[in-house]
Amino acid sequence: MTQGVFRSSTDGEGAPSLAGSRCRYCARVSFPARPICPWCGREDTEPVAVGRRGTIQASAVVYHAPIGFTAPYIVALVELAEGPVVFCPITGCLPDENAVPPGTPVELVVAPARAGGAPVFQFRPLGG
Amino acid sequence: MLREVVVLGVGMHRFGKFPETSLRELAGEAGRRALKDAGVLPRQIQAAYFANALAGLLTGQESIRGQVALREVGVAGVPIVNVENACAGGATAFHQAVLAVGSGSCDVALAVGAEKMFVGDTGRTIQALAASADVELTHDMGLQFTAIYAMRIQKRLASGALTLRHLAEVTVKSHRHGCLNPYAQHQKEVTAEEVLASRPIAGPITLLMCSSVSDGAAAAVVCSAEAARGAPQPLVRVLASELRSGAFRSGAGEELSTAARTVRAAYEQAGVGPEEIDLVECHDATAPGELLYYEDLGFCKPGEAGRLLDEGATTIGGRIPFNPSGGLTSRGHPVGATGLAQIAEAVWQLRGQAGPRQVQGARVALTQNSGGWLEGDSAAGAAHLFAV
Ligand SMILES: [Zn+2]
Repeated sequence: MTQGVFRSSTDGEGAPSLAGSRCRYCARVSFPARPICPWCGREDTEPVAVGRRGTIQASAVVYHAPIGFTAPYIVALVELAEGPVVFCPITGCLPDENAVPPGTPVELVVAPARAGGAPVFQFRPLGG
Repeated sequence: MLREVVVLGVGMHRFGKFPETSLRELAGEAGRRALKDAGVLPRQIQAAYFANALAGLLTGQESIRGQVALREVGVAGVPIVNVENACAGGATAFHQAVLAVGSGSCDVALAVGAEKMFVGDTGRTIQALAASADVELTHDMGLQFTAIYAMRIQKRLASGALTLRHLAEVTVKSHRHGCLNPYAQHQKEVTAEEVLASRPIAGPITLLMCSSVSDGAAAAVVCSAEAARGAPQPLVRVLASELRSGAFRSGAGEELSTAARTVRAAYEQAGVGPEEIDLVECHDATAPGELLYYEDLGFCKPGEAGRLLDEGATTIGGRIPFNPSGGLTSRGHPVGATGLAQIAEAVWQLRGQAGPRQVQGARVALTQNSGGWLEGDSAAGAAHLFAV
């Protein structure tokens, strides 16, 4: 079942995942889930759980935070194991410039919703 | 384009902090100046395009921003289209005006971009800017646009293609140019040491490397070449006008960036390449971003941006000056106005009217405007080529 960008675990593993879609024709995966394949254009996709694992493509420490955030914290582009790239905060490590260099394996964390908002996804270094 | 389009006139309201000036007043001054420069009366404008990105969130003015603002220019009754395309709105409005004239649907069109970002609470403005992304995917994630640039730059620092000194020196150059521009928000030289010692914002990007929140407006009048006879100013021809959006990207990210695709399309439309261009106004939302554009826009090979800067090629007086106006970093970045300010600078440069920042003998100019952010790249891109 899908709730926002998340898929609740119906596969028995119990781990949270993101709600993506896979093209039944070319097998490429999209996140967020889309009714039409961005790559081949066919309107033939199926829901698929993605994003339990990924690797850091790039990251940066934010020193000047927007309203409601406390600097410093890390944001990153994470390449999901299934292919798509997402932007999100990185948790579970100190906000140092070299905390999560490119290639660092990371795992999905569901952060609680802020007041009035929906829960957001984050990643943390694997085993961290 | 079915027929040739020329720029008849341009005008700006200075960029900066103007707490007493409203959005319509900013737009009005830029628009009236453009009409005066063009030698055109308000009733001669047959269509108008008005760019603004943030008024809905910041002042509550939605839906009919152009109709409201352009009354200050004396333009009403004709088609007015409200353009919203994040930081690329200004060039998008201009593109629409060029299409309207180029297609023959009208002879004279006006494009105005205006933004009012000082609303007494900079935090609210920064929050509004963060809405230029997919808010369903990035809400409550601490998205901050400087961090996006920081991630791109960090890759070059890690590979050794760029150094912190390059980031500082390109910022010094930007501010040196800005000092020569009476429309610029920042008109003060800075040293490399001051740049590196200023407050860190994200990754290696410091405060002085960033474009600022700003109030301002810019405008242009375009016209068909045949209807332009007898115009008061030297005519500047529009060689190319291209608009693109961010494409789907694979995880590997080997596709061309939005900016690169847009500019390549403009080169193709005009039959002009980087070697024939005399100056560039590019979208340096952070000064180090300009270094990435040297490569993206085809002015040097990948990895050689630092060398191009070191050679002095991109400074006024160099082989290919970038951002003689000071760019977004020093001119300021009232987002909906920026694209048209780039175009105004190109027009002044090509007419030989840029005063102390004049690029000598400039014949061909490129302007490149980016907007928003979606799945790892700009959501909008616009590129224009001009010639005298
Ligand atoms: Zn497909």
